[in-house]
Amino acid sequence: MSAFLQTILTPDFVFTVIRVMTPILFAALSCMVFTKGGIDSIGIEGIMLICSMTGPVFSYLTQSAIGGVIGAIVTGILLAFLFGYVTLQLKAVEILAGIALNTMASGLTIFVIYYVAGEKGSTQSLFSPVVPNIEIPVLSSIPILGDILSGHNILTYLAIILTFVLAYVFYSTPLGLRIRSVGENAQAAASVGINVMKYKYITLAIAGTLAGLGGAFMSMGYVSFFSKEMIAGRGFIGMAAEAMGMGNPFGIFLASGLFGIADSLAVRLQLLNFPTQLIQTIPYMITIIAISIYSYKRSKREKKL
Amino acid sequence: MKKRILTVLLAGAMAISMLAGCGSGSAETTDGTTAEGALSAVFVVTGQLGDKSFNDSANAGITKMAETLGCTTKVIEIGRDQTKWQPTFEDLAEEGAYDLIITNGSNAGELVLSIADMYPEQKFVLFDMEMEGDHPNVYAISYEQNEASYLAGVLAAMVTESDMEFANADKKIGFVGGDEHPIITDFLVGYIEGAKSVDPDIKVYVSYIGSWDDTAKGKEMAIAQYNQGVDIIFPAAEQAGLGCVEAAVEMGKYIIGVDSDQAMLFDGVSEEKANAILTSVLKEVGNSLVRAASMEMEGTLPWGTFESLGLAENGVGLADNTYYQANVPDDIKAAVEAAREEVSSGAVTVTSALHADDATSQAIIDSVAP
Repeated sequence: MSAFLQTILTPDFVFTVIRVMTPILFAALSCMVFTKGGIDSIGIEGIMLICSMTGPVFSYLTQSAIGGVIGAIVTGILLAFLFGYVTLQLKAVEILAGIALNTMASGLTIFVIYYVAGEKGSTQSLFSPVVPNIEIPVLSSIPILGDILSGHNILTYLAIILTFVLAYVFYSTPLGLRIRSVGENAQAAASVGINVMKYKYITLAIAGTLAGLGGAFMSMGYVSFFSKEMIAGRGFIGMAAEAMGMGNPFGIFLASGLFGIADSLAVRLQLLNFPTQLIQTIPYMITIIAISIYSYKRSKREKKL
Repeated sequence: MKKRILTVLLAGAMAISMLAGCGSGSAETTDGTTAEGALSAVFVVTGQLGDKSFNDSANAGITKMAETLGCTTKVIEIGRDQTKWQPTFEDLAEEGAYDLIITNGSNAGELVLSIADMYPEQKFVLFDMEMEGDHPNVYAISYEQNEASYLAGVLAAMVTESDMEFANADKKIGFVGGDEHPIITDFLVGYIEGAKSVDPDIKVYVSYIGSWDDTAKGKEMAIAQYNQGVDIIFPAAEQAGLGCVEAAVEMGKYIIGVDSDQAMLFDGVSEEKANAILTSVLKEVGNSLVRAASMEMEGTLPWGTFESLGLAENGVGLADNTYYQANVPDDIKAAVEAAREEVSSGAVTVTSALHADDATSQAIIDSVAP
């Protein structure tokens, strides 16, 4: 037990949690925006995967990390628009369009990297600049706190900042109010003169940007190259985190943190000779437990209404 | 329009390269005086070339068969769509234009065995497969990855106890697997036995990523092990293992590659990654195919059986490249060479997780648990 506590009660462990939760936070924030705008977010996994491929590719082509991140964001927006066009204008079923997007992403990414890098597994043979980690001046010199909070990737800090920005936008600006009203009841919004399509596409652009950043973090921050299927379910975990956080940016932040803890714990416990099979189920058990609690609370709240 | 020109150019280039291939092939057989011994072989790629792994290694072997043995060879890529595999193999067997049909047994083994039974006149060679049952016209090759892993274990144990730049005082080495799987356990058991042959008290940290693709999680696994004082890790986890390489570079540690000569993949791209990969454990698919072809020409290939090729037959090995030569101290190279001799000659037998029972493998893993 003491070995267990020694493993998790370290600044290093908390640092790891923040790194692990970053892509989940981006995914969850993206899902939150989709959901607030009344659009299904099941395509998030595929959008993130394609963005995690275009990031290093554009970074390689422009030889600049900013070029790569912009490439990933633009890809994210275009894919979200594509999803929006197919579901909003052509009236395709959202779930089916999302699944199609996810399936397409697996094959398309491999096709493109083979064309660009001559390899089918990864872009490791391309020299693509990455987004750096940064030490925060004053903070890094504070004992423990500095070890935990300083030295993360720029995109990690961006994810945290964006949590606050989105909270402000959605609850304190007319734009946020209109997106939410379009999402909750498009006809009612239209009746008071809101251009529904315009706000749907603004929603898609914001959600696509966040998914693009999440993808870029995976291949330009977490590791320095794209490899096939590298999102590995983080988009779907993001959907669960969004549900668990009840659509509230800060709730989502905490939920992402919980998944970060579960994942980091799974990594550490293996080294303490806990049975591997059991440990690998931890993140999923937490998902099920958390969603059960969430659903229970929601059903109780709905009964009250 | 541009695209169309490109397409035409590419098609032209492909046609020319194919003609060139035919030209040299037929020239060998017509000019060669011992044409009656030469074979014709077709390599059916289940998937595509360019995987920097098995298929490319096999393709290199096919090229070598044409160059050194004078075989007439052809390579057909049939993609991943399994519905197209059966007709291709049936057509080739029906046609009977090639002496040997060669393919990857771990992908298409079952299918090929059923077709082989229908066409007893056609001979098939399946690599990376342990064949069961009675198939007199099939020859299968499997690879003893435990023997090459044994050498990797010797190297890792020597490195962690050396005064190399990134080696620390702890006698700890690491292993990261994609998932618990018999072949991965085979890698692990060989690795542990090699390490124990150097130092019986060595500790081996073992983690499983639970995925073959999750590079980021692979990196986390490696970081966690390196933080425990491990200074060299052997990841057997396909793409996910690339994350371990990344962790090694960032933390200033060592890594042993797998499946392909990974250091050479980074040659000229990232010197620091290439330098972190001391060597790689290889299955020499190409060598084994050349061996099979030359045995067939001598009439000694044991049809109807499978052979496990280890270090003695050059079926597996450690990558020896410029980075290995530059980064690994001479005494470690000598120790690895000595171990290779011992295993090849049969003086040392490496346990195989594929043939031993689970309890034996588990006991070996537990014996070095930290």
